[in-house]
Amino acid sequence: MRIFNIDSGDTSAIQRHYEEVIEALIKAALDIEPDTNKDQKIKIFDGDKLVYGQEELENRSGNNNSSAIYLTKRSIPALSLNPQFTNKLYQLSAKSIGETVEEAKNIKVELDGKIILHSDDKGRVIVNNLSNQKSIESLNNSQLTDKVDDKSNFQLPQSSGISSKIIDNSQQKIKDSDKSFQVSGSSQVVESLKELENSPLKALLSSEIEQLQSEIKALRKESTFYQSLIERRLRQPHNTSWWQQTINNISTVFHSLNSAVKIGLQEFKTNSIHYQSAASLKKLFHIQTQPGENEYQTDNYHISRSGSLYEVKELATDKKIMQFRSTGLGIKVEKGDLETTHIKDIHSLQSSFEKNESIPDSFAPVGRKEAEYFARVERVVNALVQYAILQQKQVEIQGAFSYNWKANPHGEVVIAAKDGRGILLEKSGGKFKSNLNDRDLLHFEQVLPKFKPHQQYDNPHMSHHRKHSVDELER
Amino acid sequence: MNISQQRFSSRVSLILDKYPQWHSKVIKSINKPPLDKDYCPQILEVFDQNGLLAGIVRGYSSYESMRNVEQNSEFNAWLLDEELVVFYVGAELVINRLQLLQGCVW
Repeated sequence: MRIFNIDSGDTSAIQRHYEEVIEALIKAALDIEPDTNKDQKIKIFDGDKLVYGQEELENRSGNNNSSAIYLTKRSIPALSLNPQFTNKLYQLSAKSIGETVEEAKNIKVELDGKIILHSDDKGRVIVNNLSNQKSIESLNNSQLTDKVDDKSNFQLPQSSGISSKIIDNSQQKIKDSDKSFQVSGSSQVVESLKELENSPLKALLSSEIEQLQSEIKALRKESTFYQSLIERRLRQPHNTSWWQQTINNISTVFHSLNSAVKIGLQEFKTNSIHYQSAASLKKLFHIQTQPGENEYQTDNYHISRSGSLYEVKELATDKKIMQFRSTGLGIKVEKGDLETTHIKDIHSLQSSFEKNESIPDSFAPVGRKEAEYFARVERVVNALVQYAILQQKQVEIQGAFSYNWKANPHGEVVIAAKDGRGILLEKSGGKFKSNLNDRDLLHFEQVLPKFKPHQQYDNPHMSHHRKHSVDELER
Repeated sequence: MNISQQRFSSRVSLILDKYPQWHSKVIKSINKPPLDKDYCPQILEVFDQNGLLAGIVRGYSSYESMRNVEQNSEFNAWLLDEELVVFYVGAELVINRLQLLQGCVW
């Protein structure tokens, strides 16, 4: 049994890391934007009991004559914050004042000393100053500006109910007369870009923004599940890692997310697999082809390219499994029909890129396997012929176990199996036929060193080695 | 940090002093190598001092925030998959890690 010693420094580092993770999860659940400029203090109470955060303890010390009170801080290690409890928080946060979550009674959340979420003994919400509540009334008396930038307003494609909610919220804070003075974030980026001097970078960034604008226009015409996630993202305009934090944290903890967010997450994940796959296949294409080449074939797949459009087919079924287009800074997947086997193959391709290893067989250029096989067979044949040359005569070995073989100094070789498969390799005249399988090749490769010409058979000291070699060849 | 600061113009220094969060991001990124030419970011977001301006999650969605016209951007920061890769203040380019990608549309 191995015992690992962890020193106290490591332990506290682990504890700190754990607390950071929990805090990130709570912030994600409550939709609180992390503020990197200050250390945000969250306290969570279940009834009277502090279940998360730092509590201040009164310590009386000193003698009877001079007693002093010291305030010390003690961190609650967040052990009572299980997924069920965090779910209650999430459900409460989504309710308006007056609404009830029966299983979430007497819960209170404080952010920097202010109560931001509170339920009474019936589970009725009495304070909810979080940004993901539905009620506009509660926005009126909230400290929303603590979390949502009061100078920024958000816009989503206008066809969905969700988007109109967000726009309504924003309009709470903008006078009607101000509306005509609004400008979209992307137009503002276009304006800023104008100041940069003309360069390839400027062209690249401008084309990205143009693409973004045309996508937003197109998205306004349709309503999809993505909006519920985008809505959450837009609520934290200062968070530069929102997607990474959310995708990594939220889906693993909050089982009872509302279904729109869940479907949104699922859709994001599926799209993410397609996107990463397309990126890897594009990289493969450019590593394996010369500029100007438009096709790349492996034993299992065929990738073709026409301008910026790429198509990937599975050879066995002739089915198109992917179609994507390369853009200035990325890829646009137009069709993704990946099955488990394809995803598995692509994963091993990605892993070979990461580890800087050779490309796996499924994506290696067609013929690579054959070429490798042929090279192995040739090494065996050459070794046997070299052995015959050294002997200056035809060598014929009747093996005791698996193989009979013969070779002569003219380069003719025959290998036969003794297990009923007959002749496995024949090289004579212009004919060269091989049915050696991997196991056969491995056998001969293991004994190859014994065939090496550097063995000096006229050297009396080597006679023992020669005897040993021939024994092995006779297996 | 002071050493890095000396490389910036007074205009850029002024902005970075005003927004310490972005100052530290710029310092962290300024000496990082350019992105590989095969790199395909999945998430692209542009920020200014007021937060997110616009973003794309590839194959998923594009989005943007709305601003009042008087809220001019004091700088633009382009983040690809969370990494700061381009940062400029007016015409002054402070960070560009896209040298290998620009003009390389396959």
